[in-house]
Amino acid sequence: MAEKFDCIIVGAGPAGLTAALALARAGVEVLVLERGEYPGSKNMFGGVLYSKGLHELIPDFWDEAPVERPVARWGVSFLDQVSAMSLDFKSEQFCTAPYNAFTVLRSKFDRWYAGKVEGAGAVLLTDTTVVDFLREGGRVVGVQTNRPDGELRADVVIAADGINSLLCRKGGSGLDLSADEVSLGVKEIIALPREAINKAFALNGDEGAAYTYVGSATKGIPGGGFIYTNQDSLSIGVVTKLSSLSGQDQRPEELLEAFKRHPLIWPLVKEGELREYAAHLIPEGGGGRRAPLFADGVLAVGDAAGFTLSTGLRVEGVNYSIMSGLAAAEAVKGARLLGDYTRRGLSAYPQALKKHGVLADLEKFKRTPHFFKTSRLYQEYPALACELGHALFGVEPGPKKGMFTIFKEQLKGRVAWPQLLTDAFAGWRGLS
Amino acid sequence: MSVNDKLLKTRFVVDSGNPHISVDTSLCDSCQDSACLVVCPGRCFEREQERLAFSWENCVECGSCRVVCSRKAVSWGYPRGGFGVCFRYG
Ligand SMILES: Cc1cc2nc3c(=O)[nH]c(=O)nc-3n(C[C@H](O)[C@H](O)[C@H](O)COP(=O)(O)OP(=O)(O)OC[C@H]3O[C@@H](n4cnc5c(N)ncnc54)[C@H](O)[C@@H]3O)c2cc1C
Repeated sequence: MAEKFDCIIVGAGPAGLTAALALARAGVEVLVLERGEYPGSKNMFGGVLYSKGLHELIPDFWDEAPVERPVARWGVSFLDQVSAMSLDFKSEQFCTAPYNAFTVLRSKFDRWYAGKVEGAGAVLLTDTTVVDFLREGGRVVGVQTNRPDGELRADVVIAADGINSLLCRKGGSGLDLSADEVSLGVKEIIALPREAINKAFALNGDEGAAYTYVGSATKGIPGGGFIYTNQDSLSIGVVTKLSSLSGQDQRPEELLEAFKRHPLIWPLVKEGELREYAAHLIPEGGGGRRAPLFADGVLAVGDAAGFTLSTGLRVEGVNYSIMSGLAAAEAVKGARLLGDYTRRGLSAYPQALKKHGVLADLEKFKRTPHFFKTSRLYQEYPALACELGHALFGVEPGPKKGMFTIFKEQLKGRVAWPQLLTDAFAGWRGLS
Repeated sequence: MSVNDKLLKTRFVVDSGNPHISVDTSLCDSCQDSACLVVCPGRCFEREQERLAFSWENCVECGSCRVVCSRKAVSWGYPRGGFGVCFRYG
């Protein structure tokens, strides 16, 4: 192996692998370091992979990538303990190329993606944990790994090491991250025959479903539950804001167990068999988080830089990781032309992030995390939605009431009108 | 199903004798919020006779303990390359 590489990338997740792919295609000598036994062995997500970014890089990737199902059916439900008010959307259009999104299992997908990156000429070294940057005169000049003689040098290092980013936290790199605003996701893989899944979720053939649940799914703790259909398994999990969870007497796996037992959910999962239990953090900062993105000899991409859009209804991280990987690769190519890998040479990075839509979207949705902090969204509103359902569909003795009367009655004692209007406005601004 | 039963389904390559978590338990005796006891999805932290006890073999490497510990008692790192949790689905 060469003593020195043009670029070392720490982490073989979607952010690091994308940067590696773009650089390797441009003839840059790239080394990707991954601490897992294989790429994806440390990675878990919901999850849905939105096609757009990857399709641009690897046209028609779905023909060869280990995707599970194209998502045809999307649902959002407000739950109380015994009922659910749902919005369900299904479109055949989502099941033809260019597909909108696929359900994916990361341990398979990341491994496949890494293979593509190696095919483009990058070198991948697994079983290797990076423990620190190598620094000289205040700039990053490589990394220190846990292997014997584990120093590796490069013109520039890309930190793609995910949410915990222990590397950036080491300090001294100029990339020190701010306090953590994170959510915790716990998830189970439940094996079920393909036909049973199609029946339970009313799907044809390869079609997939992606469902999100708010309210009782997390017992009112800010967050939500999710179910995604894979080919012959379900991904089911709950996400909770970590700072809210820590004050509760509910443990994450107990919340997930209770979610599975909800009367709406239990019929879907009860015949299944547990195959894997996993947990992972999600950045919740939105555009509010402003970690320094680059410094002398180093850039941060993906979750390490906080580039995840988490609107509560959905988590979009992989596509922003891909876009930020592309932007970092462009900045490195620019620096290479100049022969200058200092902050100044890499200064095209923010512009490239803007070009690829990363900063713009995070900026646009920067109020979203605040909106999703209101406890009413997880307590009062799901209860209100379910009570409305009871009032709408139940037949009671006495004269029938109009819709507005029902709404007014249910609102009373739960949420004051001004509060409702403020929340509606905040929700509108946060989501649109 | 208990978390230990769940974890039996998850693959681990344990690096025997090389813990990747260390806890300065002297800081934990007077800790009121004990958030680590609640949030850890692998139930790696328990109170045993007023003292904090922790294990690291069932750690799914999420990092929640690192984030919630208000005393900075948890030193959390990654296992050596190739060791620790190894998801087959993810
Ligand atoms: C519960 C949950 C649900 C989600 N749902 C979705 C979804 O449906 N759709 C979506 O788009 N996004 C979703 N996300 C977000 C998405 O998973 C992340 O945004 C995305 O994985 C970030 O990619 P990344 O490459 O930056 O980091 P990661 O995917 O975390 O990759 C980082 C890589 O670096 C490696 N690494 C870390 N430290 C070191 C080190 N020191 N040395 C060597 N290697 C190291 C890791 O092993 C890992 O392979 C979800 C996340 C969670 C937790």
